Amino acid sequence: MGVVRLCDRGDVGELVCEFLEVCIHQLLCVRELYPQEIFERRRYINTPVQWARHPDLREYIHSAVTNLQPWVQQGVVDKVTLLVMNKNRTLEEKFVFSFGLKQLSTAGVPAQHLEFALRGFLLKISVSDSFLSPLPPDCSWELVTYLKSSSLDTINKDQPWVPADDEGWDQNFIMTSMKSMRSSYLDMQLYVEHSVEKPTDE
Amino acid sequence: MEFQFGWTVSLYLLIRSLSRGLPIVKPEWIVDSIAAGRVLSWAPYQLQRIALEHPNQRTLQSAYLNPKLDHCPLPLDWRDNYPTYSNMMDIDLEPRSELLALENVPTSDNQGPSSVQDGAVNFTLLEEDLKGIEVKADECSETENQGVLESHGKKDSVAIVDRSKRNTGAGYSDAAAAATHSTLGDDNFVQNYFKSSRLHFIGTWRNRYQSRYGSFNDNSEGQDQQVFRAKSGSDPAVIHIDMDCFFVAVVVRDRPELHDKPVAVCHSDSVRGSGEISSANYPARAFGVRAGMFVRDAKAKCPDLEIVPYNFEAYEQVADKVYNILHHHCGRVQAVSCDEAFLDVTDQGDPCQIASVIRSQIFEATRCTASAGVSKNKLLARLATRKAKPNGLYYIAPSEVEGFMDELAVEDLPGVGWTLKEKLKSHNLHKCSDLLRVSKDFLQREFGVKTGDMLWSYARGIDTREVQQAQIRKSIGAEVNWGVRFLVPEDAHRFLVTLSTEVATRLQTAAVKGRTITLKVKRRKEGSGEPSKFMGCGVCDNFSRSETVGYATDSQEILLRVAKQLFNSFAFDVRDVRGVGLQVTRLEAVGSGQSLKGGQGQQRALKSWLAPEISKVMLDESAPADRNSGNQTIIHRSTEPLKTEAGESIPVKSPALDVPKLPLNTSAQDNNDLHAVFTAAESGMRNFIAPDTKDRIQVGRSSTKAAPPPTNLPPLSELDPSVLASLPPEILAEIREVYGELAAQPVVSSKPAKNYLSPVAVMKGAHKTKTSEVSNRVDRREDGIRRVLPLEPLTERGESSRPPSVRPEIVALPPASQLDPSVMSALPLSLRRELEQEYKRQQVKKPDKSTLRVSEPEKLCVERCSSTSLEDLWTGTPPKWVHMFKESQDAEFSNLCVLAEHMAGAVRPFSVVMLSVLPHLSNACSATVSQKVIQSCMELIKQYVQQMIACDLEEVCMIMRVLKRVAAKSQLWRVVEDLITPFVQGIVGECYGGHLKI
Repeated sequence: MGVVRLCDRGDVGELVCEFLEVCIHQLLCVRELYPQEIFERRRYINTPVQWARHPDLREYIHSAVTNLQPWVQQGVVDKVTLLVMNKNRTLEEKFVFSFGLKQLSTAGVPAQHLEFALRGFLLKISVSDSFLSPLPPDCSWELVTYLKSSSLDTINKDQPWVPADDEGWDQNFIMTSMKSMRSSYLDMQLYVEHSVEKPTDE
Repeated sequence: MEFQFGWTVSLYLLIRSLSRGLPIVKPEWIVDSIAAGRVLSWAPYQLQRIALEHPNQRTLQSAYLNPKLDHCPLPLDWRDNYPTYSNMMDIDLEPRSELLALENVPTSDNQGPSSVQDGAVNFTLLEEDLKGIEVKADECSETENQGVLESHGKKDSVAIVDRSKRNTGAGYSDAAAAATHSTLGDDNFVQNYFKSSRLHFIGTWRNRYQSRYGSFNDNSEGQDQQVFRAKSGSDPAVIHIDMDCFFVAVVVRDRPELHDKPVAVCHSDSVRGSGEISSANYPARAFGVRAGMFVRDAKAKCPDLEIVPYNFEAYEQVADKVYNILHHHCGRVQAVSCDEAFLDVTDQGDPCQIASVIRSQIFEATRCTASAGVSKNKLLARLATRKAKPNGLYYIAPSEVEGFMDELAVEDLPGVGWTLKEKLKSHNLHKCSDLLRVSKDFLQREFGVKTGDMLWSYARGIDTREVQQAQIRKSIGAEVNWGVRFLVPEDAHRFLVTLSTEVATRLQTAAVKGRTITLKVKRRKEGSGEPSKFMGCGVCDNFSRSETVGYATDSQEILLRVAKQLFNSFAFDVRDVRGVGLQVTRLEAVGSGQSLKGGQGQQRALKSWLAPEISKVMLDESAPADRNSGNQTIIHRSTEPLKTEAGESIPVKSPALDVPKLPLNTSAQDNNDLHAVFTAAESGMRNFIAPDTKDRIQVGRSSTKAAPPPTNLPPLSELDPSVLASLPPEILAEIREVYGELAAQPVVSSKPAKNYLSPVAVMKGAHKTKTSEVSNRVDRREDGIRRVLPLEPLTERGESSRPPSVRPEIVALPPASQLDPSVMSALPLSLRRELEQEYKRQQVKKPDKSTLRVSEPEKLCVERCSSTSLEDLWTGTPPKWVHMFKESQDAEFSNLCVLAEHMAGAVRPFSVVMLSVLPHLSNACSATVSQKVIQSCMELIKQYVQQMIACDLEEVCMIMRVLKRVAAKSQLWRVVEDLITPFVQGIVGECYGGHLKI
């Protein structure tokens, strides 16, 4: 395998978005937001992942993430969150991917480096049910992206993303760090916020 | 470094021909890795030399079975154990064996062809040389930095050179071949490298020369002569002596059959002729043989050319004889190199006559000829020598200078190299006479101020440089640019170990220590392949970084640590590293001035002149041993040795320990009257205990003057607090100790923020003006107390010793009942604890409280100082605290020291480092815990969390978990954890709004 080098933010952004898409699928499966039957096993950067089979679901995730890509590339995305709400539309869990894309050096970075790091995230996600309490039935989920405020003017018209309210916690919440990576070109971390009321036993 | 995990482990192939450059490892690696539960470093299991063994050597088995030869990493047993592979091995080995036979070449002294050098690893030696070595050597000899050794040298190594294979082989398939030639395989690489380097010889010769003639030079007229000359006004006269083809001549003189034959010196006379000629005699030069030529090219020009090896011992002998003669004739000798020198013979008679006498004496003594140039300055003398060669003498009289210079081509001027020559040619300046036409401004504009100036004056035969005697060494270092190949970071680190050892040895030999450590790294230029010169450095980008340590050092450990840090800071792929150099600058002579005694205490530069203040001795006639608990050591110290050594009254004690009740005279200070209390954990202590006679005498003298010893200190008010804050902790502690006595109050009162201290300070100040003598004593008394405090706060008092007159001056602590609890809780923990302890203590025994109150402000001041030095612990690579604590001699800080040591070269996150030293951390904790340590640990973690919180929650989480684990075992860390957890949760809340689950 030749060394693929990510030469600019575009390349990194592309890889990050692709990765994000996989993560969302994976999270949906791990948190059992859909029945297990709709997922199939696939391989992504040499890691087994669960991938939804339902075309609409796939399309939703894909379009959401793909349309995020320009922002990611511009580095205006602060964090991307996957909110899980119970049937009363109150927040149960919030998976947060926070990004810090940096200027790449001219030489670029080998793609393997990033993939290697991302693999860590995927593995952490696949075991995340161990430190999270099971979700109540009939939960729903949505994707919310936080942009750095200065960049709102970059939104173009055919962007399917719509402004959202900040679905904050109305009580104290606990954060559990799942994975962080720091590198010369990308900082990324994944953590999950969940309510205090259901303390998970250590 | 790519690692392959899981099933792909099988990629570590056992068969070279299939390995595609991947390391070849012994099967044990897999088994051991499984046993260890992780992927072990394969370096120890590498089969790097398998294909390189010399067929004439002992059998592989015997080599392997001989336990003494453990440095010979020949994992031969697997041949027996895994017979299936051996066939393949053989196939691979055979062509190489043939090659080996071809490549057997003589290398070293007096050995005929095909003899085998008995090297450490029993390898045949073949030395590879570098192009242009002669040129480089000349440059080197001119350079002012005598210590810097541009080691473009050569190297003993096994030569199994298969160029076609190497060039076609992709990537690191040559790794095994490279192993023996390079840093990869040979643990003694650096040593061997320098052993056979001629440039190294030249460099080390200087050390020798300086140690031999340095003192002689000092005694000679030196500066006096300069003054004298300025007065005399007579014409200056400089002789330049240069041995004729030194390196050849010395070897040839013992071999008359070679006389008049073309001879060249080269480290190897290999069939391939890939060695490079470093020096050739005149008959050879007549054939066009030049230094730096490949032997095969030289032989093409001159088929009869005789190649002789170096004979470093003879060179040394001859050079010594020559310099004996030179020094006999002249007091002002500037050694340029082992075979070249300038003599200033102004006012010593006819310079030509002196020169001819010297020449004939040199020939008599050494049977080698020397040429001499005589003129009025160094430039002309050198140019004259060029005319004189070989074996002649040339004199340029002042009147002839103009004509002589006019004829000279620009490239003949020293300092004009190829590049400058081409530049000059482009301006149509070919001869020195051309240079006379152009203005100095033009030259300076075109070639730079210095070069332009040089060209302008040289063209006129002007050279203002003096004949300098032993030049001051500015740097010492070692650099290896040949054969440097690493596969994994561990290789590089191992190499740095040997390199730093080499440099440390050189520093120690030269009896200097340096403060700035520079690491130079040559990295393969992107896109350039293996260099055409075997194991050369090829096209490289050069990088260098340096770091200044707080004190001069010659310690290998420190060099290594800094070198590792610097190396890691480059973050290069080690496989691209082609050369590494380590250099130490800002040198200080070991025995000089404020310099440093050997041993551990050496870092304390301030120590020697602060010695009286630093003494941790405290007299306590009323409170003997029972007062002291825990880790304080009480030493009933006999004063006898002190007396005898100082020859005066007991040195340290008299001013620092005198209390009014105890008269200062010697008779009263009898052994049993004195109980010196040592706080063994205090770092400065060691210095005092150490039997350092010199220090004591010094102490004795200064103390008998009964004046505050460090009189040359600037007033405290003039010290810049920011400078103080950035000082290393040891120095700061010392400064504190000095000023703590002299003027603790200015520090306090100049900080209005600490206004709760100022009343005390003001009072003390006022008191001082009234009865300065008494207060001096009191202060000293306090000083003694204060030093005991950090360890065992406030238990050690000499209450009864306080003169009653002082008491009213002291502001008492408010009664405990008046304390505002909120103020207390807002105080830094360390202060709070101290106050609490203090109140507790007062409750217990309500004795004379005045003493400790006086010491209180000082103590607080200490705390403040130490907390300022704890700022920005995590700045820099490696973080600042690593320096702070790594060198800490303080037993209290031993666990931070352990941490620092592991952190120093680490690229891993702090949590991982901490986890890895977990057992040490808990073990290293002393029984009692001082505030200072708690605070340091707190700050360390606090600042790390602050730094990490925004970008790496996982690391924050990790560090807290690790902390939890340490806390389970250690009192100190438990306290730290208790204190830090709320802080971390607070900062997480600030940053993310939540509560971190740890």
